Amino acid sequence: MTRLGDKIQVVPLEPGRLARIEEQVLAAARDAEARAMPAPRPPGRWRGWRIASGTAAAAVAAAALALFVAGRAWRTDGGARLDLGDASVALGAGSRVAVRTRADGATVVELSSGRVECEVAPRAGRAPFVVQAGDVAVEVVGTAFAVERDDRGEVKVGVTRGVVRVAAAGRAAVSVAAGQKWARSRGGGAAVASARAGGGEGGGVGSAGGKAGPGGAGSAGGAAGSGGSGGGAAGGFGGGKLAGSPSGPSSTTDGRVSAGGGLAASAGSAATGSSAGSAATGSSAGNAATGSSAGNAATSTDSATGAAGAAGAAGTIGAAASGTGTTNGTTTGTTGTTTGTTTPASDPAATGSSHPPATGPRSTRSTHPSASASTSTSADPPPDDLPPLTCDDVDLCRRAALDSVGPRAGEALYSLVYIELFRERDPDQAITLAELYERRFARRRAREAEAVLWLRVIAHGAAGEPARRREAAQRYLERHPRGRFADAAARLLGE
Amino acid sequence: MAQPAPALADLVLVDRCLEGEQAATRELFRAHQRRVHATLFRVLGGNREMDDLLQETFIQVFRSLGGFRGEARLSTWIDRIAARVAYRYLAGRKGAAPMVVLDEETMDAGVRGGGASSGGGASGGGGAAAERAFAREGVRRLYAALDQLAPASRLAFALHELDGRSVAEVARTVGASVTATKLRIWRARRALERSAAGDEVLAEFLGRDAAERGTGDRAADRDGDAAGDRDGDRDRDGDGDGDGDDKENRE
Repeated sequence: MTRLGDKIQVVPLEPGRLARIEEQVLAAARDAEARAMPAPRPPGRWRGWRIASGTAAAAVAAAALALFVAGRAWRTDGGARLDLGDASVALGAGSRVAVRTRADGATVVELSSGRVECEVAPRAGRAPFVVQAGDVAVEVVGTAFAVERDDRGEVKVGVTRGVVRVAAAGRAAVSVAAGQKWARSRGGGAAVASARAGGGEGGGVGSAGGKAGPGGAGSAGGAAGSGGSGGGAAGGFGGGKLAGSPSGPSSTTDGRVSAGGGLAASAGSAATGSSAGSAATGSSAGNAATGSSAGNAATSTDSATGAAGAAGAAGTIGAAASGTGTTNGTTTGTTGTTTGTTTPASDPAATGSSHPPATGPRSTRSTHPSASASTSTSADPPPDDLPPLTCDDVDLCRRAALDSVGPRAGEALYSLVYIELFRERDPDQAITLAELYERRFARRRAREAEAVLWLRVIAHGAAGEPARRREAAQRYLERHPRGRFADAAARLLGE
Repeated sequence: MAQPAPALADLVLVDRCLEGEQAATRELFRAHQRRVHATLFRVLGGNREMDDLLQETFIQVFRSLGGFRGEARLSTWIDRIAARVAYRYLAGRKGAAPMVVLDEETMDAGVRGGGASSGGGASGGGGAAAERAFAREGVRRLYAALDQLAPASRLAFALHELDGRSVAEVARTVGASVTATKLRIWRARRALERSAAGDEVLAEFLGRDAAERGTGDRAADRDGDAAGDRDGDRDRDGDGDGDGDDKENRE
């Protein structure tokens, strides 16, 4: 303090005045928090969205915009942009779109045909944002992405930033991250392809999902199956490799890919048509979700198509990605064979190597001691239902987790726990980070919060701390009595 | 300029606030209110709107908390908001009547210089009272002179000279370059010199500070070039919790 500053003594506020200020500030903080939450909206009402023409071309095209007042649906002859407040939706030429509010407050953009490109603010604290293309629902986590649906019912999803969850009727939801494409043909096969790893960013929308084959056995993966690393049909949504090629691990090392059962389905059915055909008879949606054989997945989707309405598809949004929902290339490489028979997800060998999509091929759980630790393998279900990682590098995760706040920090911290546990093989560090997560995000209800609790159970097992492992399992059960790993936690406590 | 890593405790506290934990919100307010109040007091002088200004600062803190990215200490981040509130207040009341409206009681408590410690002494009672009266008048005239300054100059000068921050820290707090901050401080000093030239009470109150203004400018240069980097983004309290203002603790 300078001499001049020393001559001025701060007069403290009187306690009564200070207490009044404190209460007013706290009330304002509560209001700010309340405003940050989405306001409840009456279910099923159409919102009068504002349409703004974005570019000069769009301005011209806006003149050709046909507005169907009855349903607040729009068809564009040229192109236009919908300003939805915290989301912006660019409509492709000739697109048909309707916007409605779902019962849970979610904004649903229903794409009848054409293409929409969406820029959506992160959804933490906001109502979900969903693009519904027929029976395919794409839920936004906070990203930029495009959805295209052609007249034949083929749906393609391309993500340029962030992550979306894609739920097709009769399938487990899958995560599609930045740089990845998801496609599903009318006939069945669905796949996620990594544009980054594949043969470049080819233009146009391709049929990674494949042309519909007889009997619904998707031949979508045909290119991948025969070529090993084929980039799907020409003119694809990016032309990336199809992860999950049945030709072996080497062809799937590009598997920074999250793929549902459909991926395995495409590959398998493409490899052996007979396999697909025979499997078709016993197919079911459940099989597809749990990653059973190729034919099953393809056929089940086929049968579900049309039967599942928008509501049904919406109901699957956000559902747990079970089975091979997040299988990476290693899984496919391990289990996929040239005979086209894909190992079901219930096979430990398959599930043991599946992991959230952001993790690279090196981070296969099957190589981690914890996966083979006798203390954990019997009690812990394979955590193949974990949320996707938001970062894939220790330094990046650490920076994001420790130099920021809010949901992004929570997701990064979860990713860091995962990486430390399964990639760095440092359960002690994972435990420390999990404890930090719990301190920082004690009230967080995000999916990763549950995952961190369960990862801590695994970490204690890997660290040879059975007592603390039981404590962690007990805490998991208390907070998530119906959680994804509740059964396993109960079994562990009953041992 | 490299910024030190934020304290993990800051991040934990902010996350808890963002999660809606009421206790965390209260904890944050209590951890930082004394320092923020002290800064506002020194920059603006004691005035009857201080309650509103302190309240406004923290309301903005909580509204903006989601934007805290941990790129600086939480105390620094909050101080920036306090500086913005002070600047807007100064800019908004430009041309209005002088805002320092301290009454006798407040002035007695708010002025250093032989008041409290020696006031009770039987032998020095009269001298102490006179000294307090002089100091009170000096503070009044100082802030009256500061009222004549441009808001940006006044803010920079007060943060540096009265609140004890380095030039570099002031620059970061007000969001200006070090050069611009030095210039603002220099302008404020020159304006105070001119005021003191025709005001013996103010001149005597400024005392050696004014007399040393020539060397002070050079010191400010050094401050901005070296000391500012040296102290980086440190919490002035040094402990990161924001409640350790030395002056206040001495009260």
